[in-house]
Amino acid sequence: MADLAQYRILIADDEVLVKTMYVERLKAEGFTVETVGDGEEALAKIKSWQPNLVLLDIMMPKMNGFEVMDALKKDAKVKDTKVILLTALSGTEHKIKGATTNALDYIIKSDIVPDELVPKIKAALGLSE
Amino acid sequence: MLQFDLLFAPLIAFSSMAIAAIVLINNRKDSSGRTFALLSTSIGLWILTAFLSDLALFKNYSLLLNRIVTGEVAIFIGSFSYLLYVFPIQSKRRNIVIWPIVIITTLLSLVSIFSNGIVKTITYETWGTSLVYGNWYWLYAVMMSLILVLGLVRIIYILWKLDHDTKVKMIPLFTGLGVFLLANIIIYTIVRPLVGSSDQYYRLANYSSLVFIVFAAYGIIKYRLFHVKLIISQIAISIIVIAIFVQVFAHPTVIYIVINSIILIGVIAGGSLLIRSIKLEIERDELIRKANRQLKREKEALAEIDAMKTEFISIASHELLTPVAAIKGFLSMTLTPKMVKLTDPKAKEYVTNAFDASNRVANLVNDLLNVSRIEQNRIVIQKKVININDLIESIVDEFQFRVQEAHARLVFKPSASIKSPEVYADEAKIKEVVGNLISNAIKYSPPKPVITVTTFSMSSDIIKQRSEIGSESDLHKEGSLINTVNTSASNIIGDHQLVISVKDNGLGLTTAEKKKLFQKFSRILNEDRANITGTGLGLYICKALAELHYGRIWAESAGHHKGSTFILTLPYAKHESEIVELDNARQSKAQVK
Repeated sequence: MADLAQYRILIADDEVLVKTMYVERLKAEGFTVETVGDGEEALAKIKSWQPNLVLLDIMMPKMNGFEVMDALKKDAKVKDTKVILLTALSGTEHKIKGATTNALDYIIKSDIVPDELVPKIKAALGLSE
Repeated sequence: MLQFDLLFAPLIAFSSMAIAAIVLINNRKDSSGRTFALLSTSIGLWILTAFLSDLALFKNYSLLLNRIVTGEVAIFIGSFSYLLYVFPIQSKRRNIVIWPIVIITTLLSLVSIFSNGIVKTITYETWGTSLVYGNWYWLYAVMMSLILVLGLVRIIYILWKLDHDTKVKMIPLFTGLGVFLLANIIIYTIVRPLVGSSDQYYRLANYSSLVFIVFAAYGIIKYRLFHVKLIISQIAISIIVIAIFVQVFAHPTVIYIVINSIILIGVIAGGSLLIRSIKLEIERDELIRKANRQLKREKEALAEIDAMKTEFISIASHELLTPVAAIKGFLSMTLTPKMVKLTDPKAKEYVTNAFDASNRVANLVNDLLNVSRIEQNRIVIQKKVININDLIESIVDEFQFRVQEAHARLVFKPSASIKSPEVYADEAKIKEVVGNLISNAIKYSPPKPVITVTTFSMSSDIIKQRSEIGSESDLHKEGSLINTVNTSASNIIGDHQLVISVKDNGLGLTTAEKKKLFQKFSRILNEDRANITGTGLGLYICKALAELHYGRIWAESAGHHKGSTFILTLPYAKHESEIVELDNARQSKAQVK
């Protein structure tokens, strides 16, 4: 199995509990994880830290997830950053798809448990179990 | 000239005063009616007095009459501007404007009539009398111009502000006033200085009031301004009654008197009925207008409430689901051996129960959100051509986690005979329906269930037959989806549809249960299912989604403990144009609503 610590994952969400939950689970899996609490911080952190994957919440203060993705697209250095969108609501898939095709996947937070998140992240990073 | 005046001056004066009287009688309590009557009267008196001043034999009388004319012109201009601030819409700041108008107009007309400040004297000319203005004439001219400008500004404001219908109604009245004013302004400010100091063209200005009378009368009668229809009918009927009354006594023979009397009684009876019916009509019109205004206001209020409700559901769901996601996530991690070692079996049991409960809350909120979207026709369906085999394979993949957890077996057997297993549908929604069916199969089955998903083709006739036996939902009952999921759901598009069947070896269903299954909040409660939780909304949503795709969904079962099969049918992708057409019709209907 590959050394998962080489994979940097950034979690951008203003909900502290949800964020903590994902951090705990992904750290237990062996990933290197960092967090930010709003869209602006997310954008800055992506540029400075260059994570392999970003879990990006849609409803965030200052800049929402879609705005962050638009900003990423404009910067050649980070435009290929892999993104999985997080949303609290189901039934917003059409909005997610309509807004951007850049996201690899989206996750409805209330639908899945952290254990189900792990295979999605591995798939996004191109790791087979 | 004098002969011409003899005919027209009294006629114009009488007509404008008649209009004033009609409007006044019908609008006694209404300031706009009273002001219009004053305006019309001042025009009539002005023309009449000007005419009389030329006829006067003594210079003193003629001077007095000319002073009165000047006073009446002031009243005309004052009431003109005043009227525009109370009719057709009342100005909110009218008191700032109309009280100065009233005071200035009254003062100037009194000064004009009783002093030599404005009209000093008159001189006789070959064509009549000419005015010599007094020391205060400049003040009179400035004040009248100011008041006139106030009125004109208000006209521009009214024309800019009014809705189209009211504007159209006002056009004749304003045109009449406009022509009259313009004629006077042109004659007094341009023509008079050009031809010298004589006032001999003033009559032309005065006779332009005829334009005002004709236009105003037309506007008032045509658009029923100032409630004038009733009094016109009353006058007409009175004239007829008087004419017949005269007839009664005009004829010497008894038989004519009798016949005419009968006619008279008939006309009086018919006329009073007519007047009553006009009264009723006017009242009804007023009621309808009132009700319309009320409806419009209520509609706006409802739209606002609806938008607030939608916003509320969205916010409430978001606020509910975020903490639920955390509760569910942490509980599940507590149960994950990799994260936490739960040694006490009791603790494990409690946490498992809490986890199940949190799942229920999440599902309930999501289901309620979906039902509200479907019932408000706000659900967004984005159809495209999808390969059903690929879709089912991806669903089966996603279920692996839960399948393993339940020690179940989930197999997909795609039909080999369908050449192109493509449907025109919303991928996410079909995923939701099929996922729901698989999830139910896991839930309502004994330990180690076997679930088989298959696809095949079925003729529309058979679909119709079997789905009608299989289910009976309240989707098309009043207050339900009758208005949102359209009646075209009763059509089955295509002579064949693609079938996705989800078969389990679980608890099975009785005929009565099959019928209840797709109703809102229906839960089948018996001892087998006592510990199985659900919102009773899942299959209701599935049915709505199936019908939004012009397909069907129903359940089949041989009975208790004999397993059940859920069948979803969808039209093939080749019927895309027909589906798009029906969807467009549904959307435009929803927008009309």
